[in-house]
Amino acid sequence: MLIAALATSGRVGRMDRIDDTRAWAPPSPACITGYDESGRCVAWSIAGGVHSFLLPGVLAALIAGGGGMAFGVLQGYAGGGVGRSSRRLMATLEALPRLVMLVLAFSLAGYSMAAVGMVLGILGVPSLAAEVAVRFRELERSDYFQSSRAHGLRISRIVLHHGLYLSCAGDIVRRMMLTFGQMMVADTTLTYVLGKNLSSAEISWGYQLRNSLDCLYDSLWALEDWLRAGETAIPWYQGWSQFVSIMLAVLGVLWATQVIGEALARQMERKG
Amino acid sequence: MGGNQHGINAVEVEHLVVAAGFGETQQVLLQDVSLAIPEGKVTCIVGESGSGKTVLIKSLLGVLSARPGPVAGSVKATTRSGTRVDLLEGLAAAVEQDGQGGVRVADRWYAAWRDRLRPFLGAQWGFVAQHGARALDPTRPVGHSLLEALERKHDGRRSRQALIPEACRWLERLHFQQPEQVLALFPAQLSGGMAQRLVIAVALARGARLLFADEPTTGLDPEAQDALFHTISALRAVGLLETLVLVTHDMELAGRIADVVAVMHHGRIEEVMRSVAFFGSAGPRSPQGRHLLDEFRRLSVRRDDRNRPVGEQGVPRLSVRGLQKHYEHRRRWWEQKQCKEVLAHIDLDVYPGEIVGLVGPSGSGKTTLARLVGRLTLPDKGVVRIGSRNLASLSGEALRRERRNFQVLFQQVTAAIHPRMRVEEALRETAVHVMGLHGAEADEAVERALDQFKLTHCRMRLPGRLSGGECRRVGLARALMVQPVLLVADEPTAGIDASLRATLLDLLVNLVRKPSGPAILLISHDRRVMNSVADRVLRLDHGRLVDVHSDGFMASASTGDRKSACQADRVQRGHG
Repeated sequence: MLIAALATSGRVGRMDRIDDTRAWAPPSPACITGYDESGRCVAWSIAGGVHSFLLPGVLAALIAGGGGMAFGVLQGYAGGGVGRSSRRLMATLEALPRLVMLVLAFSLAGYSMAAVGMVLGILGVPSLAAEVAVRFRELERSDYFQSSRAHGLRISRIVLHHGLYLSCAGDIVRRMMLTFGQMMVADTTLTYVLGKNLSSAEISWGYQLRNSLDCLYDSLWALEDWLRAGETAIPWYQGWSQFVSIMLAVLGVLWATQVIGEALARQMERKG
Repeated sequence: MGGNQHGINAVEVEHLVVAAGFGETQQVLLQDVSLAIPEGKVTCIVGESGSGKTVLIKSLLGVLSARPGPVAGSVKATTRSGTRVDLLEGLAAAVEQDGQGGVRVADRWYAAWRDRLRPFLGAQWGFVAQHGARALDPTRPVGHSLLEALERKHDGRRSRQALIPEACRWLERLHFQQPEQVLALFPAQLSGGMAQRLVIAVALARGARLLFADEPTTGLDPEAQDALFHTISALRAVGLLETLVLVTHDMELAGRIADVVAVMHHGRIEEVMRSVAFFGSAGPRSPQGRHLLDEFRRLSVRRDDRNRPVGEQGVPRLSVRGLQKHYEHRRRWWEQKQCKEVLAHIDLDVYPGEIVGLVGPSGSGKTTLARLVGRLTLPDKGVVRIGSRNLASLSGEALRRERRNFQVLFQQVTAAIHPRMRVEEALRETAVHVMGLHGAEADEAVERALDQFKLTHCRMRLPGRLSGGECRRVGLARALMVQPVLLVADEPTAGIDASLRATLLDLLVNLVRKPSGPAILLISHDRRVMNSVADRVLRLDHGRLVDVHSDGFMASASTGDRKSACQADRVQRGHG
């Protein structure tokens, strides 16, 4: 993802260039994945998708991670009135339907990946806060916090190092990466299902998914014509490379966020 | 070793190899274990912490946290009809030795082992874990667990409502008053002793007559231990419990209850002896058995330097005056808050070079007093002084710095070290973040502590890989590294074997006797510990210091305690 983002840095405008003469052109040395219906190189579209998704994804993960840690500590460590208020706020946030909140955000600020990231980040806070609070309460139950305070450790050390880093780091990373993946799924759903951001001038995961399915359908129709009549307007194999590239990219990025998250989390959770 | 000495054996283990681990290759934990568990008898497995007692019974029951369990040898069990089945027959072939002390076990192995165990677990064999309340579902009344066990006994043919009288009869047998009300209680509302008795009821209700019990008396006060002992005796008398396998550190309990004693050491059964011979004039044959018994008897002997002239000179290390504490609670939100007085006007001094014992039944306020002294909670009234400093006047950074002078060792072993922190890391944290040392100085302090508390071999281990005794030593090492003037130790010897207990107490006594050593306020249920090391023993009862025993603590114990002490004398004197 980083490579894609760096490679396309400053060249996004070139990727958006639409050239109808190259529509559905097969793979070539200039573009190994072939071209889409607008005549754009699919490989560059994928790289552009990653590019435009990366920063809002990081934003979503940071909001979910930062907020989850802060509210989790308030619930699990501070307790009392502060903890109760935090718990109620989180319960309220959790009760808000994700889709409605996204639509509300778009109607207020217009559709943008940043808005999707921000909304998903905020709505991801309660689940991480709950996980952090559970870990803190486990330590509290075993008298660990009291024991550490009595030993003379600073509260900041107990909360940040013992509570967040040693106890929750794995859960936090896992949840942040999940938010990253959720953001991708949300963007795909919004653009593909609800038709948001389906203009061919912009690149989004949903647009690419629709594009890939169009490639598949066109190829299947061509295949049917070829089998029935022995000839087609376009070769039946045209569009397969575009479909496979886009599907692999979409599923691959989704899978990669999960695998990276899991690997990082495992690294942080010491087993023995 | 471990041959059948008493007729039919309920379980017979021969040349057992137990392996466990999370990775592809499992480490061998127990090697060549042979033990016969005679039917109708009580077999006590004794041994030092980490000798493999718990691993052995948990592996037999398939509840070892790190799979797989017994991978070679034979486990012959007698069924209800009297036939004998080798549970490991045909399974041992799945094990591949890797030539480096580990074994590789096929993935399907654990499932196959659980399948073999299924007819026995619950229906014929019951298990009582160390902390009873944890075995019960915390979200449901305890009656749910008991009724569920009875329902399974009757194969679901009777409704839970119809089973309530039977559940009540079980509770009556286990000496519960008002059983119907007990059924409605949640696990958190039971005392430790009640929870253990209830878990026994749940284990036996399905029809099990062989009970495996892992340290069932740990953390219980003497009264609760006695109640549990009498319950077990009563169940055996009426035939509801036939065979008991008891894993214990408590040699006194073993002496009172066991028919057969098995000594474990370094993952092997060293010897199996009849209890009368083991505790009698013949005594154990194995060096480890003799060592355990000697250490236990040593605890019962008053140290020569006890009651030496100490303190009451100069400024006390700890001075408590007029301390009062109460808690408010209400059972239901519409009811008025009720006030529970936990401590009422406590006066207490601990002088340099002194070990002051604090005893009392569960709920008497011992731990609250420890927390007040540790300035983890504030009193309603009264003053706590460490040296000449009033703790109530300190807060924030000043309080944190002052904490170096008074350390509190908590009862829960898990409070001593973070579950994901290695031993060396924990000690370094103390050196750097509490003592303010850096670089070579911190390294030196860590090495000194590792060496002094015999923790060098486990410096890179996480707490999950430490025995209970090692965890306690880590806690003690952290607390004493900072050279406090006062140490408040809450049950520092709970759940550790006699040998380690004696070593820990020796360590504490030696530290106290040093001119710069800390004074110690020692909280314990263990009469022997108090008798052995405490210079003075204070008894806390319902929040009041009602009695001060400066001598002969054992003799002035309550009636129940005296009875226990008499029974224990048999063990101490070495008369069968």
